[in-house]
Amino acid sequence: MEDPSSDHKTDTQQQITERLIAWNSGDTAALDDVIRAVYQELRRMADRYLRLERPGHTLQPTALVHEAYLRLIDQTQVNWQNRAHFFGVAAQMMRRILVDHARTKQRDKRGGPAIKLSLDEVANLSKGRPVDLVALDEALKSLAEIDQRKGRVVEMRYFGGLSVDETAEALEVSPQTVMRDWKLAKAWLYQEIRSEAGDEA
Amino acid sequence: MKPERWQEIEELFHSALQRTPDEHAIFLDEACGGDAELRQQVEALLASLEEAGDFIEHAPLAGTISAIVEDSAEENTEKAAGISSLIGHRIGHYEIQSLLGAGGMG
Repeated sequence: MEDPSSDHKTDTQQQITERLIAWNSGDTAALDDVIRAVYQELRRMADRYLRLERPGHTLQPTALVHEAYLRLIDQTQVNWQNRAHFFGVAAQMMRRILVDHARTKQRDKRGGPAIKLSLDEVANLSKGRPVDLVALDEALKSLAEIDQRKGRVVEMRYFGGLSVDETAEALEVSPQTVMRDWKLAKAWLYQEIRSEAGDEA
Repeated sequence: MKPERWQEIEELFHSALQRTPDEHAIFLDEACGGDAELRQQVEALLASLEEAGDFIEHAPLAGTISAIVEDSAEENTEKAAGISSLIGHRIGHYEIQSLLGAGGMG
């Protein structure tokens, strides 16, 4: 893959690559540095996407995580496991950002100030029926209690935008297993969200 | 739910999916024996998968980007712009992590 930044490795790239490797070798404190760097990178990228391009049109399914990875990590220094862990962390973070945001927005709707930039407008540009992210997050927590791996499969594919193969790599299982997990998880989550919604009504 | 039960459901679910929908009833009759609850659970999941359509099939990347941008915009109005722009930056050996308070002396 072509990466314009790979010609001149930045100090940040060097630093984050080292922290990622340290974390994978057991230094748990290093994870905080990786998380902080990924978050900053996501913000920077988000600003640029909104300023330069219309979101929805240009976004490739795996764009955000891949781009963050290419910018932050010196690929010549890491193996596939480092890469997989990075993708896992990024997916987890995107889940948290999106769900926290949806939660705040639900609160604000009940009498709070108007939101400056409508998330709905952007959401309409992406395909598919809208998903209640707060409900999905809750259902996903329940699923993870029954079957942790299926929870992670959904987190990586849905929130992280990873492909089946990338998810398989990150979880060290076959792509077939990811597909099987995905189907059952999807059916289970859909059922769970519907029954929760029914209970409230 | 007991792990063994979940595993049973999972196996039946995937076995059923390898058959056509018309064959599901006969297959589940045989496979579940007299266990009506098990049968009901597998059937419900099969129906749910059918109904789910493109549910969670498209990663909400555009929404994620928008959420990040809105969050940072809110932060910027809440905090003095000059100070918040320093957060995350390093000065010498120190990294600015957050704003503790604002105001002056006297």
